[in-house]
Amino acid sequence: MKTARTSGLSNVGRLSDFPLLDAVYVGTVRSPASRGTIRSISVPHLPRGYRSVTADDIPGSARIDYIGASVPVLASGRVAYRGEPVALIVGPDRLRVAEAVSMTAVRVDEEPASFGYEACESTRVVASYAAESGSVEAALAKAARVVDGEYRMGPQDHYYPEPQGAAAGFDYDKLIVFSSTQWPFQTRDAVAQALGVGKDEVVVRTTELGSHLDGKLWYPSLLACHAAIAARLSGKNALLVLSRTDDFMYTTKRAPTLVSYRAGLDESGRLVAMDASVMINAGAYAPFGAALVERAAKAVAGAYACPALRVSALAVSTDLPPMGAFTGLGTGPVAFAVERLAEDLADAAGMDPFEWRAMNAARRGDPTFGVPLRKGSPLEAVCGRLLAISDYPRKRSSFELIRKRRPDPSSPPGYGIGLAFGPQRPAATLSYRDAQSPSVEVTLSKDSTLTVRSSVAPGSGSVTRIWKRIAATALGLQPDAVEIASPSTDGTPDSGPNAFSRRIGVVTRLIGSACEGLASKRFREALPITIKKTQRARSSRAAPESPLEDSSWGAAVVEVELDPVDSSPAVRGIWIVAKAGRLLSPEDAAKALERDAAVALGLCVAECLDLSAGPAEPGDFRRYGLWRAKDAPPIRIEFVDDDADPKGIGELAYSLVPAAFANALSQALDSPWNSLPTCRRSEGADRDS
Amino acid sequence: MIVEFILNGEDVSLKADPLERLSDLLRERFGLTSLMSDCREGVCGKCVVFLDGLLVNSCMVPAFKARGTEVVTYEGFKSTDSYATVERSFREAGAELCGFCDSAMYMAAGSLIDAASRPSEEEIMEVLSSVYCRCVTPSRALGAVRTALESSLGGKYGRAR
Repeated sequence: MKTARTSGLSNVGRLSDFPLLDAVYVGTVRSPASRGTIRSISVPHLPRGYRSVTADDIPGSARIDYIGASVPVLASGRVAYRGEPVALIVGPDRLRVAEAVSMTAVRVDEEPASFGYEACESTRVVASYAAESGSVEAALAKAARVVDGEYRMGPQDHYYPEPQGAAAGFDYDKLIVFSSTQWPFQTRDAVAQALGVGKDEVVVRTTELGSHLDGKLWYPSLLACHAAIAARLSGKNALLVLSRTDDFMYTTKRAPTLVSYRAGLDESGRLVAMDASVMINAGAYAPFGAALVERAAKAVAGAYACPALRVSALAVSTDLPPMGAFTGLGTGPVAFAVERLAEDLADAAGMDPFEWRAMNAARRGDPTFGVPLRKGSPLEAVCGRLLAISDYPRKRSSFELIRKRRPDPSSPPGYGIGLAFGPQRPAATLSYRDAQSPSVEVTLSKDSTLTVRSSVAPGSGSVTRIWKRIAATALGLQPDAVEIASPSTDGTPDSGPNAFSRRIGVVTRLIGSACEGLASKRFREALPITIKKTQRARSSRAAPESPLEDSSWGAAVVEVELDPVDSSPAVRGIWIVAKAGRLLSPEDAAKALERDAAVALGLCVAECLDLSAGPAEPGDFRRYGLWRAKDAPPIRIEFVDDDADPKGIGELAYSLVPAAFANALSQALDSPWNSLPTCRRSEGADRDS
Repeated sequence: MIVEFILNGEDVSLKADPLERLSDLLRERFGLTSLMSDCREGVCGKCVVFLDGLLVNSCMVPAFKARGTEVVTYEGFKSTDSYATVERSFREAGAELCGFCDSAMYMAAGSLIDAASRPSEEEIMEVLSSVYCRCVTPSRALGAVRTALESSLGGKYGRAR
């Protein structure tokens, strides 16, 4: 292991600001083919100080095995998607490295590639989840009405504020890696594996993430391996930052998802049976496939009680780049589908959409995924307020009259208002290599300053203020006396991935608990005092719990008016009411939910990406219509009082706004709209990705 | 080619390729990392600078176009009264950003203040939308700019003086 002392390895805020003194740049040579066997990699003659790196040069393991899949660090032998890294070029000048990359020829014996996932071979199913409760066939056979529905959500880009990348360099005998990763300990383990060294020889420091929408959950680990290998082989600091175009084309996107239902109603409109299938296009290698299918499957019934339920969820591997998490990790597209289905079921039953939901929302004791719900869904509290502030009942009735009485049935009615209601499941752990015991540490120093340490960064000023206030209040300090340590695998305990509302749902509670423990010891033990608190994993022997238990809840209304000339939808307003436990900062919570609602709407009407014919091209980035702040409609947010423990709200808008928008659009068009984003319809939404 | 211009109030001169991007020059030669080199296609707005008083995407400005101009980056903007007004207004409005787009967003807001006009809400949002940011809460940003304009123009915003 090289032990050269390098400089400039203090904490880095933004990855692209990594100090470039005596550093090397890392460029990525990629597969030109989606599927096939590598025949040759021809690197041009490189000047002194430059070198190429292939799989043969990887000091340790050639694959990352910590994310539910086995992903090559650099492809060797076979390639699984166009753009897959097959080699690196390392050198001191960024432009010359880019030049050398463009001159490197990769020849692949190409094989037919498959990008769709509906007509898939069983060999390409990489993860599955099935469950059944009750007698679905019998219930459907007896049902008064049976409704079929098919709902799709296409791939989308996270467009986080900084493209992905990594930097690495040695500090004596440790390799320091800077990564904008949501999961620094997973990154550390991947790098240690790739270098063939112990985990204690690698330190990962998290750089600023910004609004990531769960797009930096695992892919940064791959880039960290590249930077680490380059640093190891060159003996210098190494920086790899993808261009925005490369990031758009080659990093993970929201996995395209198709949800199909057959649902049965009794004479009164009550839901008696549901047969659901979920298909997820997980792309190459299908990391997180198991987590995606499980979370998607458990969301198929939404907020509704269903005595007979059958679900089959499959993640299919295709020859697209790896598809992956988007806020909610699999639940967003299913939440859209079930709330569109709710509208279709209400229509079949001849009921008002809210009345149908009120009839069928899961109450205390109702079966949800085969398990009785202990605390019922708060539909009346949440929707009661929502309907009042949005004027949904009156508008819905008015727009229905317009729809039914319009003189020209061939023209769309032009006005619509849509409702959606649903949960955000509690902070969860992933099924594998997650900190089953996320931890937080606090230290009170002799100068009465408190340091809070977690591998999950606060990520925003509001969460930072919340953590400082909780800690300061527990110990009678001023918030200025509280410091939040930057996440680092050698300086903070493993709190697991920064996902699933872990900041609010887990870390915040652990900080409070640790500070209370510290307060009890403060005047009895000598300073400094350090307390560590750990959340224990739920025992596998514990009684099964409903997937809706301890959820936060929300409902959204979206009002739409169609342009009379081109029928394009203009959103006149969004209203959201949420019930999410005790609000640690009501103003910040409202601000966050408003922002999320605006972005979620943007994802509905813009940001289209068609991968049905293959992976993205550079032109797709230029055509990818990013949502802009000026496009946001008036948004009103309210919360229902709740004295339960604080719960996350980060997924609510992304689960509710798409369905409410599509429900409104369906009324405005007098035609069901079952596919998002809306521009997909013109691209052929009936294609399978 | 020798490129001479005024950068944040100081005369600078450097040798550069005529087509080298101004954003790269500013970041890599002068270490002005407030601006980000992101999309490199004039889409995201994170590389904005004032070029002769006009807010431009510096990634779309070749070096030869910068000759003889006055360039102000966020580092220079921070010493102005407009910055102080914008920063205070955004903070008081609770319109904090994630740390990646702050400089660009503040400069976009600053351009409205420097114009000393009374833009409509649509015009304000149009300017703020020149910076692509998923972190901004639109109503808060709008409120922050209105407050900043009220503060700098004096009197209630929108009312003729």
